[in-house]
Amino acid sequence: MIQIMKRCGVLFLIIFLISVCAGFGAEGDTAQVPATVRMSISKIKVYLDEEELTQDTPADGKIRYSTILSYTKFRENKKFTKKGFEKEAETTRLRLMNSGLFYSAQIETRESRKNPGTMVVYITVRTGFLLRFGGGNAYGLFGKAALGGRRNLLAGYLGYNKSGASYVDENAFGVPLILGAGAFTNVPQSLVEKEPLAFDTFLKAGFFATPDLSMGADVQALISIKGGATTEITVSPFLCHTALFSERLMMKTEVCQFNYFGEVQGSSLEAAVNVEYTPIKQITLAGRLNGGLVIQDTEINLTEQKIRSGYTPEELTTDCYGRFSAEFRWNALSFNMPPCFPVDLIPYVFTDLALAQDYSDKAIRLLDAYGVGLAINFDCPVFAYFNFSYGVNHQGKGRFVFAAMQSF
Amino acid sequence: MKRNLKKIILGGACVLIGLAGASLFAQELNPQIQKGIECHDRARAGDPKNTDALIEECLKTLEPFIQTDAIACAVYGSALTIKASIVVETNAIKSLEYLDKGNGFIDKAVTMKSDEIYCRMLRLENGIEVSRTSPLKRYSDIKSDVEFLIDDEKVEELSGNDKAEAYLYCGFYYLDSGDLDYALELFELAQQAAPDSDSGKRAQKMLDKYSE
Repeated sequence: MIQIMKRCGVLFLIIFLISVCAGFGAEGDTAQVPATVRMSISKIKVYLDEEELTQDTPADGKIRYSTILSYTKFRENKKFTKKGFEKEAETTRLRLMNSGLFYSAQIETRESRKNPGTMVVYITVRTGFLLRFGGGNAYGLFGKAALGGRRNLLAGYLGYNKSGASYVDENAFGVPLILGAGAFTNVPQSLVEKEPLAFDTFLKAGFFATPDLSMGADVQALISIKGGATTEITVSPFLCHTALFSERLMMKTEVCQFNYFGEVQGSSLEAAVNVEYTPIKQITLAGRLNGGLVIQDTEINLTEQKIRSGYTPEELTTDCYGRFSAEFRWNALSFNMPPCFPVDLIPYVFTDLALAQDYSDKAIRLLDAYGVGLAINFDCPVFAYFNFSYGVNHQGKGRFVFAAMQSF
Repeated sequence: MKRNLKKIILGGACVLIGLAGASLFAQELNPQIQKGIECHDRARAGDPKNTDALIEECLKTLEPFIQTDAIACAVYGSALTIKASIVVETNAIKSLEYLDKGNGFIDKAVTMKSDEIYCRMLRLENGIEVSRTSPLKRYSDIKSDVEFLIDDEKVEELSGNDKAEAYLYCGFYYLDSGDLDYALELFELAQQAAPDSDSGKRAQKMLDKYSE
């Protein structure tokens, strides 16, 4: 099984490299596309709410020039083929719309009249709804994006089991640097249920090598107080790539290593590839391939979202696993909830299939789940997502799962 | 279906019926509805001191007619979208509610009288502005309005300023759809139809933007 996992690790690396190359391919021709003339960009013109922005435009609370440019590979003097311009224009539009910062985005490229033989890129965006509402299991979230016109989010959390705040900037100081921090506590749950008082803090640092490829590390410290204080520290380097092939097809690849320090020591590695394809507006086919293995002295829990059926927590604890999940989603109903919150009701059927193995035991276990679910999505301006599912395994054991997230 | 618009301009005749607004109507309007339209147009022109009062007056004046008169229904819906822009800074959620309701009335007006150019143009303009400045996207709803004006050549029945406005917003539709070349063609026609009008000047601004 470990051999299988090591080979799967190679598979993940290959998938990761393919998705990265698909992104870099925008700048030049792939092997299948005949070589064509590459033209350089003489000017990038950015318009926000019908006003032209430049690097020198004062922010005045509006979204900054550097923030908008952080979502595109277009740069002055950079060269693209004609196909490359078209592809990057569409991908830039999708990145800008997916950022949640804009109501609309148009990207046009035209040959320059003032400098024939070069291209001008026009990026036109309209500021979107920047407040954020959301929540999870027993807590609410309120936040604001694009503070000071930057690519950031400041969020406050308040609830029964999670209260605190977080701040993440994905273009700190106007460069593709990711910095973030947050602190949470589980008051009043700890008082009511007489559980240990917990303080959960995190620091995040990383950078965008390209608009689609980010890497860095999260450092999380969990301090539990009951009698005495215990501290668990997790250092998690991560690597994440998103490939936006079109409005209908998206692939996201993530690799993360978890290193535990404190009372619990150890490390594990997990990787995942998510693909979502929307052949028609109401139907989405989603697939997820992921796996993980323990490197040292810990264990992996396949609870909650990973295997959505009635296994016990002990059955879902393993040293290494490979998992495949698929969902068939139908956007059955879209309506506006008063006063005017857009709501999508998305029923879906799913399957989760995993092979798991403990290092001490050569036997490979099949873990499976087959079931149905309902996603309730409150998109802009609420940005809150709730997921309910019920699945059974081949033994007939079922479990209901609730998650405050958009998909697996 | 796209047509060669320059052929239409050279070959067709443009009939001047009257000044803006009133030139669009095929029938004589009820005085109350006319009053509502005037309040709407003044609010739309952006009189900051009185916009709120003008819109309330417009809504109050037109409400008795929204079930029976397509133009009243359309203007009532447009007034609600203007109201949305007034409250957006203080209450963004309420703003969305007004937008949604306003769009509903405008759609109803077009359904009541699908060959009324005024209703079609109002829906097109509101649809473009709403789609660009809110999470509500109306492009699929206004596609038939663009076809009505351009493919069915109804734009030829309009006077200079209204014609410029029609070409301008059809140009915005194609620009937002990704067809820059055709959009620029329409902006050029808008500018030629009424160079000194607001629409003509906006069209020139769009042409200048893409002349780098």
